[in-house]
Amino acid sequence: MSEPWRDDFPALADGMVYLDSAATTLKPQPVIDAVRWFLEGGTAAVHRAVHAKSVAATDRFEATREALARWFGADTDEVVFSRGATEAINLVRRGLPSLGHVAVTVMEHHSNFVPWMDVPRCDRISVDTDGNVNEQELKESLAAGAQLVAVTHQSNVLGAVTDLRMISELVQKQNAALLVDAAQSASHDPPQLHDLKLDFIACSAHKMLGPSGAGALIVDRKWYPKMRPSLLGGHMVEQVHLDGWTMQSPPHSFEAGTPAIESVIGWGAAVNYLQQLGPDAIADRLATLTDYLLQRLGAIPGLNLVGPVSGRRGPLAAFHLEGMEATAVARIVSQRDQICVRSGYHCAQPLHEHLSMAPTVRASLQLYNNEQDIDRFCSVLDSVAKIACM
Amino acid sequence: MFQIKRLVAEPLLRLSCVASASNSVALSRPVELPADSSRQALPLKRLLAHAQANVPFYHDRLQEPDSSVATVSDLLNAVPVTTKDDIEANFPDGVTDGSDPADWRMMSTRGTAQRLITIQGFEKRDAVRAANLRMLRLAGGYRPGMPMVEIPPEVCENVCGEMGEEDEGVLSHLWSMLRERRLREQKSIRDLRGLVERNWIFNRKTYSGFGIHGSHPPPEILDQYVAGLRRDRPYLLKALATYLTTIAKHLRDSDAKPLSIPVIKTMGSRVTPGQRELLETSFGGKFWDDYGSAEFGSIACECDQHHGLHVFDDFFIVEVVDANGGRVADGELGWVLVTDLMNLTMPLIRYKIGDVGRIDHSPCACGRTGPRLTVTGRAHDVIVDREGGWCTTDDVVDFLESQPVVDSAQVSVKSKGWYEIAAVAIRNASIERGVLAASFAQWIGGQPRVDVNVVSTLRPEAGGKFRYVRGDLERR
Ligand SMILES: Cc1ncc(COP(=O)(O)O)c(C=O)c1O
Ligand SMILES: [Zn+2]
Repeated sequence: MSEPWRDDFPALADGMVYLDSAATTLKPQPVIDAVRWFLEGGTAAVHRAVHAKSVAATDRFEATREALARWFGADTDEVVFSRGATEAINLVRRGLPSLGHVAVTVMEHHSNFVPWMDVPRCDRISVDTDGNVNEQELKESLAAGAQLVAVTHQSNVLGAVTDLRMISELVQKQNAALLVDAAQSASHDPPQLHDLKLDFIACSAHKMLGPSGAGALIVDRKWYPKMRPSLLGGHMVEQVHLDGWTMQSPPHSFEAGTPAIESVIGWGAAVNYLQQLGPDAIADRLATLTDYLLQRLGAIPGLNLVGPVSGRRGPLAAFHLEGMEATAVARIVSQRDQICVRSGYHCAQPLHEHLSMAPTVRASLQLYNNEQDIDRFCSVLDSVAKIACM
Repeated sequence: MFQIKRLVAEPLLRLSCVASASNSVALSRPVELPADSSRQALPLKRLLAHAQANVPFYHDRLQEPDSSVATVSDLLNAVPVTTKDDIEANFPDGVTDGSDPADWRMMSTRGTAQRLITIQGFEKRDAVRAANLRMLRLAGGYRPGMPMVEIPPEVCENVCGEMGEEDEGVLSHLWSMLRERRLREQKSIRDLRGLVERNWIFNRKTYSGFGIHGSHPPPEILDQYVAGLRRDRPYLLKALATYLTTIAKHLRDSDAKPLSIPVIKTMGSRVTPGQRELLETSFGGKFWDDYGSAEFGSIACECDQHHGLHVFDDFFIVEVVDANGGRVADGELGWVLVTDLMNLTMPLIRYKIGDVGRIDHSPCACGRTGPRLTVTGRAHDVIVDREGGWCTTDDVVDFLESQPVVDSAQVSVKSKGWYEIAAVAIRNASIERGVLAASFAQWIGGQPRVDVNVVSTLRPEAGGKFRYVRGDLERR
């Protein structure tokens, strides 16, 4: 595939190599233009007024909801806006306060781990070094009465892709609920709500080429009557009297207060952009790049990759370089050739504890990366490895 | 216990040097070079020839060794200034000498502004130890085994970040050497020695920093530091300058009995001339200044004349230069350049360390003839006034702290002629914002805009250190 996409990302114009898309993605011009449209001439409150400005802004705001619904195979009223994946997960946790038993895997991001820790029983399902979820433990947890299972679709450290169909079948058998943290996969492999029989999907705009400050919870609507809104205030109400109030219908009942309008509008442009290219084409391109990254990294002496080496894998690679602290590696590649990678626990400390793993260096890819980016990264790593492992 | 440590520390130090083939005790004794410093020419020639031949970055920047050039200044004149950007752009393979990396250590400074990572071989690490011993002895008379207390800057840890390196104990290291039969391995012995030195030879206690309290913790917290110092009775107190001044002011204002700590030093930060008297009165000792950095270790320190820092000129050549890299006259302000004669692994030659100061080549009243350096602040903290003159950290801090009811303050240059001040008032007083703004405006000159904010505490930067001036000398 040629790279007409690269030119859409003005941030790359200064010559940097951006390999930290798992943390947040760069934004293409159409997203910047959409945000700019709202800030420059389109500013207005949404859902409130009848004037033309408000109507136009509301249209574009609601168009994002529709685009997201298509992207995740859901209906428009099944999309609840939040500030990000973290808040989306918390909407479920706070919305179902009487949950007594849940299960999470040990490879979850902190945002899909910490919110569940205060449930009276929270089973930590183990994973192997390739990120395969322990099926037996999951079955036992479900048989013991787990009411909800929260799993990541793609580990932000191991790169492992979870077998959602398998898990979904197990969960359905026991009539439990399944929440999928799709923060990492949403840009190129969006899980399909109804097709996979999922109950909840959480995602963030900023990892899908969109602005920060916006995210969504995609909800199977059968859950709406059981969920309690965790934020109360404007917009989520229909009638308010001196001594009581009635609620709007969902999803609005979960969206109290003025939302991050420009972020949601920008996100709509991002999803359109992704739609235009098509998830299959993006996934193909990322698979090619990921293979190349793994192959190049594998050839560096003293470099130990974590996560699966074959099979399905998300577009990232985390590793240790013998004799070097991860932070030092990240700092050197940045100083040396404007290369951005992450180092540390990547907000998944339980996983590191579970696998007795030191902090890693993580390189992650998006559709705007190319082979030269990987070459530049690996050539600096090569010279670092030379001093580190002799 | 203290007496025992006093007795065993020196012999232990000598023993550990012998055991690990180290030269650091001998090196720690200063060498008095002849006044013309021609003896520096030899090690400098060695360094230049080595760097030219073995270090890619220097290959084209340095000339082939020319035996006719004999003086240090002639040798240096032919070498361009080396910046942090130069080093970073070539790190690691381009700036190292291709020697066996098994013995290398990376010295990494944490925090935001200091990004650099330096590589030191065994020889350089030995020299760092030696320079540290020398600095402690010369500036304050510290001897191994004497009790010292350190209060280093609080490093801010974030949840997604990396753990700090763990400080291994002496006994556990010895145990693992026994278990893995590495008793005779050179590297293990050297590591052991480092640990013995850190934990036993220096009789050192470390207190944690002020953390979330910023520059001005509540009195109860400061009382705990004072109580700790009364209990531990250190000979030497070494702390971040902000911690020193805050604790000293607390002692002054709380009518407590002054302490009696003979030697006060700062680490990783500067005490300004105006703050010395306060520290000496409150802590009941003498302030001894020294100068060093993560890349180099100790570079210079004061003698008992307290009149400039004697450069360890058997280890370093220090110059003060103008924007074009030319040496300025004695007493004039400029950028400090350091050439490290001891690090052949990663040579740093005419390296712009990021500080500004003055140099003085006249003999000191103590009898030493080497150059004396006075550092007045970080280069990026310098405010350039309307006439192009420099106001360094020392100038700015001493001016602000001399203002009525100002306890401490921070200044940021927002843009040319626009300054923002955040000031903390002394206890039970309030700052007149207009008055402070007017006197700063008069001091800096011109008709500047000065915004004054009154705050209750100042926040450190991410690395835990406090930055009092955000200047515009090096702003791009
Ligand atoms: C797997 C995973 N889940 C959840 C999150 C949290 O997303 P946000 O911080 O946007 O709420 C992240 C972000 O790093 C992630 O990688
Ligand atoms: Zn002297």
